[in-house]
Order: sequence, then structure tokens, then C-alpha cells
Amino acid sequence: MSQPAIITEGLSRAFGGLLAVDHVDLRVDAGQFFGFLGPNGAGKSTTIRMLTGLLAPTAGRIELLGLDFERNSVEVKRQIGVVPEGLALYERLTGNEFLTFVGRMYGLDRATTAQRTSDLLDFMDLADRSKTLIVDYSHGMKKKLALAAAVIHGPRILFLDEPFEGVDAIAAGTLKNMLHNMTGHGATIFLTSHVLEIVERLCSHVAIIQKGRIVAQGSLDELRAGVAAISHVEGATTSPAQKLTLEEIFMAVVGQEGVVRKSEDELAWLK
Amino acid sequence: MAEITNSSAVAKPSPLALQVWLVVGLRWKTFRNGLRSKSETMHLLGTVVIGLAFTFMTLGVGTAIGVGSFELASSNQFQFLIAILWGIFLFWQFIPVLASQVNPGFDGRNLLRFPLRFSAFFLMNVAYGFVDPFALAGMFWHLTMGIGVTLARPDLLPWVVFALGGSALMNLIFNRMLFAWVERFLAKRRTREILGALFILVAISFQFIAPAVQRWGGSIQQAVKTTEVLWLLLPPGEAGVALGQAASNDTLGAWETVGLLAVYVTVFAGLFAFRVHAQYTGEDLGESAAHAPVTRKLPKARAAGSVPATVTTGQAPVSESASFASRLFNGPVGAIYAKEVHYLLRNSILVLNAFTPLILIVVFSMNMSMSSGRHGGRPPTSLNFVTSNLLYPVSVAYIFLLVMNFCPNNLAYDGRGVERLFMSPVKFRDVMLAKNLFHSSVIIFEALLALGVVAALGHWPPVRILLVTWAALPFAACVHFIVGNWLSLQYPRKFEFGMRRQRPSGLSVLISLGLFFAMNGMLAMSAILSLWFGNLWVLAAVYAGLSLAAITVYRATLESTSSQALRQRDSLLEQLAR
Repeated sequence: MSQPAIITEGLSRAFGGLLAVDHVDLRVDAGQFFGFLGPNGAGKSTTIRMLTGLLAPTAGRIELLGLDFERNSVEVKRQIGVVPEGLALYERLTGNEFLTFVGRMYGLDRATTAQRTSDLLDFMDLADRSKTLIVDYSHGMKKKLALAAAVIHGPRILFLDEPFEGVDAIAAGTLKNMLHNMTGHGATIFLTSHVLEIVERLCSHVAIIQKGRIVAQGSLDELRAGVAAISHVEGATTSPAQKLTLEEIFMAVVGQEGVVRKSEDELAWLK
Repeated sequence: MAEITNSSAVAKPSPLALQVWLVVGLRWKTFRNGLRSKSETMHLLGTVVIGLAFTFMTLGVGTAIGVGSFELASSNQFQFLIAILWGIFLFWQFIPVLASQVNPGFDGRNLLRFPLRFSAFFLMNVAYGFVDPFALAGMFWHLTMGIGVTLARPDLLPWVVFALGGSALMNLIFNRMLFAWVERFLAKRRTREILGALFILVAISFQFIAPAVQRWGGSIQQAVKTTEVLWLLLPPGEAGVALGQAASNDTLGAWETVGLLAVYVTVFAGLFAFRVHAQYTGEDLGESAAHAPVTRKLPKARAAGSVPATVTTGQAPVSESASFASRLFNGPVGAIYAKEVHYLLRNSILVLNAFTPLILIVVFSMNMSMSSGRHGGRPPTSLNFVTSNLLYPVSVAYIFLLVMNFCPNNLAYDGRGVERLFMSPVKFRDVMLAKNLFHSSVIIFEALLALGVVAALGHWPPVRILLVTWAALPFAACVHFIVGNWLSLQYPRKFEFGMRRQRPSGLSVLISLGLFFAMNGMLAMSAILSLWFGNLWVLAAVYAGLSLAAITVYRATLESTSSQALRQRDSLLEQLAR
């Protein structure tokens, strides 16, 4: 069995009276490409913010690469990379200055930082805009720069919150290749996306969160089998297990029937 | 294709008053809900205290204007009312533009997705002018002037209502028009920064008025007299002219002047409506992002679909960053310091704020030289002492005041980047250290430049004064850093680049002001005592001792900023990374 890269036990976060994340137990093995899914407001971003040190849990523990996050936060952060929802860029720096800044924040020496900055700008097709202020970048360019910043220190775990949103198809293809290559070298990738086709194509394992709780977790085949078993028990006429798409799995788990009923019965004044 | 079949379901236009009322309600709810967070409540508290001070000033000036107007009207000297009205006009129109601490402008563009009538949109824009404290003060002063004139000459009451009411309306509309057009030009980042710099230069140029008047006072007076007719025709003084004409029974002339005032109001309202209409019809002044290059070259690494080798061939050669020197020059402290330098140099407002003192030293020096000149070229002993000995310490104190202005909100320009600080393997101790070192180096750099300027102006300070000044600096800086770091983490406020109309938390302003006066009071008191006893060397030693103690306390408190940042993480991200 592989070494776990990410373990959470009873991870919870409350905002006032609202329990946004409710006793989440996750296990992601090293080298996995892991998809983290859920409907809007399910607790995905809150979970990823806790896993990356942007939000303190109200209960539970996080262990990354065998280290307790709370006790070893600096050491853990040194080994993870993050593309957060808001990208966390310093927009009045140029692309080149920003990557240099990030490299040095991770303790890379000047020569290594310069080399990697140059490599990444070239790879992300940003070399000819390296001296442009980030504020003048397009959204897709900012996203690529944020991704470059997340990998400049060679992280062992990469957290990506909607990494392909706003990125053109060519760049997305390049990035996917890069991410696959990283998992091939033993890095773990934890990805959230609303585009289920991307998750299905990239991820070997998936967890689905709903109303703050994990409602399904495992490899895609395990989830297919699980959904097929439920359908069989309930006598529903769904596709055979091996043909279920991630979207069908997702709908089955988070409750597609409810969505259909709502659209038919409610908002009658719209007709 | 599905379509909406129930035509009765389509919303009917809501009445104008209802739309305005709904927006008023929206603003109130936004304000009320903002008070749910503790930092907003503290900000309100600070604002209330500052607001009280402003209110007392307004009441004082208003009383003076009322009494003055009564006296002037009683003695039939209405021409002086024109000068007062010009003063009110300049205060109302230009101080809000020049001052950095005013309410943010009304941006109703978010409301345009609703079926809002143009009349409602325009009225809201006008009404927003009433919220501005400068406008409230201006209107109050018009009122007190009206009361003064009416008490002296009750027969002029109708003219007071028409003329001063028209003048207040003209000021209000002109102010809204001015802001609308200024914001039109400020919409683009580069223009905004250039205009921001120009505003500061204009503000600085006011400092030259006194020396200029002293030098060319006669010529200026002559020029004003020559162009008197022009001044009387311009809108700010029209109400005074009308009152004067009415007082001398020139009813026709008074009607003509009030009519001219009405024309001005109409023209300004038209220009304002033109601008508001552009917004209403969906004008987009946003800064569009640069387009990606059309031609794409495929780098070798990309074409092969591989990752840059240097990134994936193993873990980063991460330095341990344990030693202070390593953190300082190679690690995060150096990185943040470099980022601060880039940010300073790219923010024209910050640059000008930081370097304004150097320009003002020249002004001080000119004022002092001219004052000395009035004593037959030989300054009196006390003045000689001031020019020779205190110009440098006073200049450094002024530099200190302006540079330290940034300290109580030192994460203001980090914005979303503050998330990066929390994601990185860095303790906030290092973040604050980097920012404090940056501010220290700006002060040191400017203090040295100031020494050069003072020397060039022929006021090189005695060595003992120099020593006392430099010995006090670390003490004052460390105390400000201790308080500033705490305030920055406790009550952060996000600032946008190149925007002048931004203010830190009211409580931060209040505490910083208190600290500044306490600190300078203490330093000034000890300096006076030392001068009394005639031994500045002792003072230098005392300051040096205080500085050492302050540095020790600073180092101890710096460590605690890491835990404070973690405790405040949620509110920091909420305030800065929105």
C-alpha cells in the first residue's frame, strides 16, 4: 500500500452556527491524482483552505506527508504548492519578479530561482510577457502564472482550485501534461473542478463532498461499483456500472432526482 | 424553444421615489451589516472621534462666518461676503479632492442591472453629495452666513434664500460634476496615477503661497484688482454680489445675478447629467486586461509535453533559513523587502508621499530665510537658532511622520497577495521584519537626503544636534513599529494602487495620532529640558539608551506577531483578499 500524502481526521470548520465542513476523513496516497468534487457551497473551498493553511479548522487534524500540519506548518508548507481560488498574486510585480519573489519565499537560492523562473515562464508561454505587470495579464495568463508559482519549489503535494477555468485549450493540454508528469515523479495532486469531464480524464481517485460531509470516496471504478450496487438495490434502470460517467456518479450521489423534481414543480410563474 | 408566456408576470416600472428609497435602504443595510465585524465597529468608533473634531471645527468656523456676516451686512460691506464665499467654495470643492480621507465616491453602476430610471440614477448621484462631510460643512456655513445677514438686514431674507440657497446648490452640483469628471479620468490606471501625482504636487504647491505672497504680494494684489470684474462674474461670489445689489436697492441687478447663478447651476447640472448618462447607458471604464500574443511559439519543453526539468527532478534545494543573516538577505525577508521596493516605486502616490518632506524642507527654509530678511538681513538670535539648529531635526520629524503613516496598515497594498504569505513557509515575524526594515531604510535614506538639502541651503546642524536627532530615531521608529505591527494585523484595510481616496481604520488613525503626539511631546519635552540645562550630549545619551531599550522590546514583540497573525488570519484574509 502506498504512503499516504494527505490524511484528515474529523476535519471540521464552523462559521458561527453553520458547520461548513463536518468531520471530513480523507486519505490521499502519494502519487495520486485526486479529484475533490461537490455542489456549490458543499465545503470544497473551505476544505482546501484548511489543507493549505489559509483557514484554521475548528476541530480535527490534518497530516500532510506524515507531518501534523498544526505542529509543523512551516515545514509542511515548504513541501506543498497551491493555486488558490483567488490566485494570490502580487499584481504590481511583473511575472518574472513575482516568480522570483515566490522562489525566494520558499528559500530557493538566487541561481536556482532565476533558472526555474526562466524555465517556467518559457514553459507557460509567458516568456515574452515576463516584464509586463501582472495586473495587465489576461485571466488565463494569471492562472498559468499562479500555477508556475505553485510548482517553482518542486512541491510534493499540489493543491489546485479550479486550475483550468479561463485557460485556453492549448494551454490546458500543456498543463495537464505537466501535472501527469509530476504525478509520474511521485507528486500528489489534489484538484477541485466543476468540469467533471476534466476530473474524469485526469483523476484516478475522487471524493465527493455534500453539505460538509464526504458522501463518496475511492477510485472511479470503486465509485461506479458503489453507485451500480445502490441502483440495483433500488431497482432503478441506470447504465451498467462500467459505463457510468463521473457525471452520472456525481448526480446519483448528490441527488439528481431532487434537481429534476424542483425544476418541474417549482417556479411555475416562469412558464 | 421555451418562452415566458405569462406577460402579466413581467415587472412593472416601480415609482421613482420607491427606487430611490430602495437604494437608500441598501446603503443602510450594507453599513449596518458591516458593523457585524469587530474591526468595522472599531473603525466606526475611530471615525466618530475624528468626526467630532471635524464637527467642532465646522461649528467654530460657522459661528465666525455668522458673526462676520452680521457685522459686514450691518456696515454694508457686502463685497467681503464674496471673499468668504470664495473661501467656502475652495474648501468644498478642492479639499475633498486633495485630502486622502474622504468618503469613496458613489458608484451606482452595480445598480444598472435593475430597471432603474435615469431620473432615479441621476438623483441618487446628486443626493450622494450630501453624505460628504465637506459638503455638510459648506452648507452649514452658507446657513450661518444667511442667518448673520438676515439678522442684520431682515429685509434681505428673500434674497438670502435665493442667492445663498442657489450658491449652496451650485456648490453641491459643481462638486458632483467635478468628481464625476475626475473619476472619468481616474478610471484608467496610468491616468489615475499621473493625476494622483499631480494632486499631490498641487497640494505641495500651496506651501509656496506664503513665500510667494511675501515676495510678489504687491504684484498679486494688482493682478487681482485688474481682474476684479472677472472674479465677480465667476460662480462662487455671485451670491455675495446679488446680496450687495439687493442691499443697495438694485433689484434688477440682483435678479440678473441670481439668474446668472441659475445658469451656472443649469450648466453644471447638464455637464453632470452628461457624465451620469454615459454611466447609465453602460459605459465601461474598466481596465481591460492585455491580450495574449496572437502568435504562439511552442517551446521545446511544451512541445514534448514535459515539465521543466529543474522543477520536477527532485525537491527544491530549500535553505533552512534558520539564521537571521540568511533570512535577511537570501530568504523571505529579502524577498518581501524587494517586493516592497517594487511596490513603492510603482505607486506614484506612495512615492510622492514619501518624498514630499524633502520638497517641504526647501519651503521651510524659504519661509525662514524671508522671516530673517524682514529683520534687515540679520535674523534675531532666537530665529537664528531655529534656522541653524532646528531645521534638520524638524525636517527629520516631518519625514518620520509621513513615512510612518504607512506603518499602522502595512499590509494595505498586499491585497490578495496576503494569501501567498499565509501559504508560504514563512512566519509573520519575517513578514513584519521585512516591512519594518523597508520603512526604516526609507527613513534613513530620506534623513540622509534631508541632511544634504539642509546643508545645501546653508543650515548644516551642529554635531550635537545631529547626534541627538539620530539617537532618537531608533527609539521613535521601534515604538511606531511595535504599535504599527499590532494595528496592521488587528485592523487591516485594503488599499488600491494609485487611489487617493482611501483611509485606514478609524481606530488606527486615532491610535497613531495619539502615539505621534505622545512621542513627539516626550521628545520635545526632553529636548527643552536639555536645552534648559545647556547639555545636549546628555540628551543624546538618554535617547541612545531609550533606543536600545526600544530595540530590545521590539525584538521581543516581533516574535508575537506570528501568533497574532494566525489568530487574526480569518479577518486579515476577509479584509485584504476580498
